[in-house]
Amino acid sequence: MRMMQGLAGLWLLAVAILVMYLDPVQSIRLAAFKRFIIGFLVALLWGGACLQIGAFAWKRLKVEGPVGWDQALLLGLGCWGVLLFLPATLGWLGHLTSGAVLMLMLLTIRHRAPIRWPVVPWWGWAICAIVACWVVIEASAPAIDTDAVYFHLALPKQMWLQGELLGGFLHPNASRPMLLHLPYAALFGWGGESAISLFHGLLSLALLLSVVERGEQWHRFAGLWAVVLMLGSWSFVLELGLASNNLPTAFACWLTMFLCFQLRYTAAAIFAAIALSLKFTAIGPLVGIWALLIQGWKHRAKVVVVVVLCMAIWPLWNWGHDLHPLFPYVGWPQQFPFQYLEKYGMGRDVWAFLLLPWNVIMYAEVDKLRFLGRLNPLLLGAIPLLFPQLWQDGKLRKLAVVVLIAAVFWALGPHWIRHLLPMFPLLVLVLGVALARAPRGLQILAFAVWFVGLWSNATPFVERIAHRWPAALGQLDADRYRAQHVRGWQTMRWASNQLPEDAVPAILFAWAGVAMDRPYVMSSVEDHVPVRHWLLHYQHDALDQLKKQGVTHLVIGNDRFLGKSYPFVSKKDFQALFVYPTNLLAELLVAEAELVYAAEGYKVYRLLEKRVLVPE
Amino acid sequence: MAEQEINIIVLPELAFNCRDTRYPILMSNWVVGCGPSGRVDRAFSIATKQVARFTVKQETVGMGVFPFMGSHGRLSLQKQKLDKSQRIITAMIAPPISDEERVAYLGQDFVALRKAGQTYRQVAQPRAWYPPALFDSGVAWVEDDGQRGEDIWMWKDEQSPKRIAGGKMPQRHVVGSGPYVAWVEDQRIVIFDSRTEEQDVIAAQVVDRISLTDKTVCWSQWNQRDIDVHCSDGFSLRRPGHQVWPMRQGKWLLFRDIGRQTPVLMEIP
Repeated sequence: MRMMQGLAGLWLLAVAILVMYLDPVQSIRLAAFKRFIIGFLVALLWGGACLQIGAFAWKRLKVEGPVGWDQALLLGLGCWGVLLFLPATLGWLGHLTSGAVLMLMLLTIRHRAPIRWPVVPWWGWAICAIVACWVVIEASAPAIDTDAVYFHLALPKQMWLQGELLGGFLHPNASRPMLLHLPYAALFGWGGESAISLFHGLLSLALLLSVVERGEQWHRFAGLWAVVLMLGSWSFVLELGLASNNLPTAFACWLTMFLCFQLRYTAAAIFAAIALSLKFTAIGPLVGIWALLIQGWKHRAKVVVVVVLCMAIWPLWNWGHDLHPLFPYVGWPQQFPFQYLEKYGMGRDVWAFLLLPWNVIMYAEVDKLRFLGRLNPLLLGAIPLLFPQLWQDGKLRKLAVVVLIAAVFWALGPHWIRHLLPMFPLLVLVLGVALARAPRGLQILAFAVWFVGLWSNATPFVERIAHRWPAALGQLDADRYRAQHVRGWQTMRWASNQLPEDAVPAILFAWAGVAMDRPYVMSSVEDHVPVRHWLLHYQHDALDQLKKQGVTHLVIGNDRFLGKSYPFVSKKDFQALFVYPTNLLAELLVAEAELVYAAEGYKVYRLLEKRVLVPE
Repeated sequence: MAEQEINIIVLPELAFNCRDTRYPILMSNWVVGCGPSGRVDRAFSIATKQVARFTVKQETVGMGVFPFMGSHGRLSLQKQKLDKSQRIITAMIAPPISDEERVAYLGQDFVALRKAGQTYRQVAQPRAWYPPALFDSGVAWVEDDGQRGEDIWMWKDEQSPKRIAGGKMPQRHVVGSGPYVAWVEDQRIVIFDSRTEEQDVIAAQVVDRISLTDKTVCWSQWNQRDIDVHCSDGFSLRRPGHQVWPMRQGKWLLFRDIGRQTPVLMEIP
């Protein structure tokens, strides 16, 4: 009998393998499958290691009781980032050191706190399983999202290739806290880009599961409504499979909130430090949590001290490299503005602020600077259902104020829906509780609102999966696919593959740094801040200064700015900060560089040693 | 010295930044250039002084005599008609080059020459972006030297391809006219006679490209203050500002002033 069962099992396995191998249309290509398996196993391995060391760290914190699986995962992520900080600072980031870190993380299994595994209703698992299909597709397809190709994938890849933590004016993005990107670098080294995206996907699914579990603990079906709100919002769904930092930050804020409700302030402070080290945008929800959910000023002060101490490595790292501690957000010489808040959203006058909740739901567009995303209208529609609950439920009232404070912080920053994501789980929990407690008739109406809003959120999903699906399965050549969706990809890949082995390019006015399989400098952030600053700072010595840094070539993208895209910048400032640098670069290129390749408006220049002049 | 009237034609209809910076160019008696999209979609006739708009646009259409408009085929500038039978289907890594009877183009791992309805291929490792050059008896191109540098190779009729210039310094911007082939090599221009395989050398640091008409080569170079156009037959264009991307065909010189989009056509006395 057992033998029959064994044979049946083998037969099932054989059919599964052979159907892929013998498929006449080769729906899944072997290379893509291999890439996925490696990435998935690497992500799983490191995720498991995070759980172990997170539980170990929990025990060290002397917190009573078992650690929640979600708490162990996030705490472990923080530990992982900290453990990689030292080798990265010393320039020793590689397979050996990251492998040693992995061993260290796994060895803690003997001394860790017991883990409380998820207790989730069957429908929670079902929802996660369905969402996992989308996450796998999105994470397995070659990344094309701008934030991924210039930052969340490109920077870890560069750190791995160069074996060290980067930063400064040549790598300004790396001067941000790198608690997440150091682990991303290790993931890249072990499993390639897909390991990063799949690890992020695992974290995102964990967040979803945690929202179900903790939401249901708060009130029956609050978790369900919360997840419904999340999955009805395109901006959240898109993030699930991307390589990014918004959802891990949201996860950390989410867990910080619960720890505060449990009066575990030291642990909460550490999770808050993790949140801020993942993304500074966490400050909004964290300020609200700090103000409303921590009892007593003694505890509040202690939390601030712990957070500052835990976070200190990042500003100290900057300060040690002669940079402003909060570089690159501030600290650019010559009062160079890093970001124009007016670029995003629908205005920043009083009226625009008052209408912000309405505008962000009704008028947001996924591919325009008008909020750059889309949310489900039930997020707005459910607000009145909250009010009756606030009088009765003190805990909910506090959480609602936390969300309000977080929303105010978001409103003060760039009106970009992605920046709202760190507070999103808190928001959907508050509304989820309100919806779960609402009368049945209102719940049905609420669902109808959600459903009506689903179309504008589902359309970009359908459009995206149409091209992500074949890309994920390997039916499209990865380079060709990316060339269709990422501007300048072809030129970047040419520079990566065809420049001499010891060539070091500087990427100017272009984004797709992840295309480079070699070290590079610059790349972009916001309105091509690094290159504009460099040109304004060094003027006619700009290219000479790059040569002194070892740069041999330039990869230049679209360097033209349109005045009508910057109506909030005065004509004088626009000329000085945007037009002048691009004209200066054109002048310098003629004198000091030679064009060696161009495609689709992107150009590659070789920097010359010097010019020979013809005597008059 | 008697004053000479110089015929200068300013081309405002072609005053658009092309995505391929090498355009506008001279093709026979036409100046082929871009429209607002930055893609090549129009040509100015030197004979009639009229601008003809193409029905299709391409980022790059090749060099020489005929524009190649991708899958739409080869465009006859005179007749303004597309000939689909002459289209180049293969993926090219650089613009093709054509004369009245032949067209040469480069693929990832080959060089191809089409003449009299037949296409001939040779295995090669050409460098991308640099178009090949046609001369009387063959084609020359920029070849990868195996270390991601550039050499010049030549494929003459009835012979196997061979290297005609190499070494540590990169050789690039190869052009051909009559029996001559010219290219840029570090701080000099080399003119190679394909009949005798002898080389003439001109000391010059080229700013962007060279053009060859018979044995006369023209290029842009820095003077003390600005960039001027120089030709090996003694002609030089010195005027305020930087004159770049020169192209000479017969008695016509095409160039651009940096900072002004409008190309200028000048008849060389």
